[in-house]
Amino acid sequence: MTRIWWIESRRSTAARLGPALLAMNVLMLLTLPAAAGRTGRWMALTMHQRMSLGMLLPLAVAGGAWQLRRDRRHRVEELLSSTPRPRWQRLAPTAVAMATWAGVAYLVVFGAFAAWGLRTASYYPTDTVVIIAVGVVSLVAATWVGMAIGRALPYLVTAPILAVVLITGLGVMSVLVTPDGDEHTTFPRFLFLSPTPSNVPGDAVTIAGRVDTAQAVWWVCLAATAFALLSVVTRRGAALAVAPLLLGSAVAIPMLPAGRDGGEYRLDRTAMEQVCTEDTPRVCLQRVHAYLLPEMSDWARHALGLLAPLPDPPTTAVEWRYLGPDTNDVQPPDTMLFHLELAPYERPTQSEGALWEALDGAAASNGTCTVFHQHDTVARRLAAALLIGTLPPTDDGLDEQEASLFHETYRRLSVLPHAERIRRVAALRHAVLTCQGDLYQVLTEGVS
Amino acid sequence: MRWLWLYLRCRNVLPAVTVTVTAIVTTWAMWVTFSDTQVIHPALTALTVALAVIPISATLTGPTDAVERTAAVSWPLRRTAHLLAWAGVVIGLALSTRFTLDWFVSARYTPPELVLRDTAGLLGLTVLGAAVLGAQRAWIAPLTWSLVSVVLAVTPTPGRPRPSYQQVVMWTTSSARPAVVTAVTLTAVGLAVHALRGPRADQSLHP
Repeated sequence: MTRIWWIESRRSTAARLGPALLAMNVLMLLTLPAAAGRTGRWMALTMHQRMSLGMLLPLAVAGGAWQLRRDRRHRVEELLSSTPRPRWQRLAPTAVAMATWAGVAYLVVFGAFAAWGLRTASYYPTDTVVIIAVGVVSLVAATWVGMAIGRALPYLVTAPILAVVLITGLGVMSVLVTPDGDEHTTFPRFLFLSPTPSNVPGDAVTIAGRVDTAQAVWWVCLAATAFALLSVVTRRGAALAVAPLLLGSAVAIPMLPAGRDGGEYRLDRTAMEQVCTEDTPRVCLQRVHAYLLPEMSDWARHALGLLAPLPDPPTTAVEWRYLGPDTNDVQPPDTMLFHLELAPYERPTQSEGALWEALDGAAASNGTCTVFHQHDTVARRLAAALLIGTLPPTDDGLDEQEASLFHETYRRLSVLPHAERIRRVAALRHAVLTCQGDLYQVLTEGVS
Repeated sequence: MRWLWLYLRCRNVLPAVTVTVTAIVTTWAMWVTFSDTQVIHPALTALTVALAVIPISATLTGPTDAVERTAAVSWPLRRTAHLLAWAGVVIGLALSTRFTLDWFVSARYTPPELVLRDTAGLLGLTVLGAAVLGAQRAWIAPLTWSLVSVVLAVTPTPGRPRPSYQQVVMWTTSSARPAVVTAVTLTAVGLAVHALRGPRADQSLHP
């Protein structure tokens, strides 16, 4: 058995599927936006490794379908069907070889990227092991599903059509679970069976245990059904082969949470713990970002220094935390709450952008206010620009109309005397903390 | 004329062209039916062009490839003509959707230069695949690459532009310089290799 497995590993599609999955996986991790796991965010890397399944699963299915065309291509189907050896015994080494190399490719890529980020990461959640294991199971199941389909339809066009249909299908599915701005939108809960996580709300979350369990159960059952379909020879056998999938669906789907945005995630309390600098002014980050503390504290203190001329300036800087869809992170008024937006392709705190993020937070609500106005974002960025005295490096986060409003207003405000600018920023901060007034109007009163 | 007819028949051109036409017409019809805009999304344009180009891989060899190669005709010329004709069908059909706008509220493939670039580059990549892997597997490279490209194009990127190695990866959906260079290179190399060498001979006993 081992001998045939090794022969099949070298002579079947497995020998090409493994490297193909490996290459595609590396490509996905290098190009997916915010794939900054390699800079030390362990869970972000894990989530991106699962997201790459969006491309890897269709590839594995296509590879499986391609492999089962071999008998037809060499016209030995009839010959082989006349041999007394049971079909499953003949196909098992091939199926196991395909599964092995698909799984190994996935783990090797994850291991390589994990090693890359090992030196810098400040928090290693053990959930990673489970999440990656579920990914491997889904990849194995996909390979065998492809083989089962390839057995039923051993044509040249089967593999390419499967690839196109699956990628488009997974794309449509991820659109279905992506929020459209309304957080009360719901979708069928079985969509959580998809192994590609969508819209991860920050770095301090993990996939809920029961979602992991449900996904593991369902994908194992799917793999069982696929393997059974691969080996059966009678119609009754084919009907029975579907049983594991039905059973798995019956067990797994009720376990899943209700289908709404972010429903599959659980807050990771350890990852969210605040890690602060020893000396004052205090700067705190979440444990998951603690490796950035030396650089980030410099920027945050620079921001606190710029805010010092204001009346009752903030004295502590704390990173904003995601506390669930309907909960705000409330902080006392002497605390500057800032959003650590990690830029996709570089260590964020190496750039001047960190200062902007921090100052943007200075004018943001401390979590107590939930009333927003149309141009709040523009007003906050204007306040940051007035304090720093230059324009921001990019217009990220503003749409075209907001960007032009921002530049126009900045031109008018920047010519005002220094004392007047400080007074306006102070008024804006007062409006934020008391939750009264339209920020843009407060900042531009009498000028626009 | 008789030679051409026999050639088209032995290469299974008719079924393959049917797939091409179906891809272009179906996407267009779906967009006209379900979308509010009259401009087909560039990522969908890129995907459709890929689906229209790739069927050529089924027509690159015939059942008697080895015998054909010995014929005293200029194969480089014919192979190149085959490619150019395919490009003509894809580009002509895709860009002709522009004229439907004059008749009713329809949609067109945009931008036109993307259609040209993708058709040329993907044809080059397909015939390169045929030269390296054999015509049977020629679809793998163009299909995989354009699917990756389309997925990247529809994945939102916060802020700054993608680095140039990513522009190469997503060349079928990008208009940046590295993407154009990639397309031109694939076209040139593909055309040359296909004209001079043609698809790899099938090594299995029964193709």
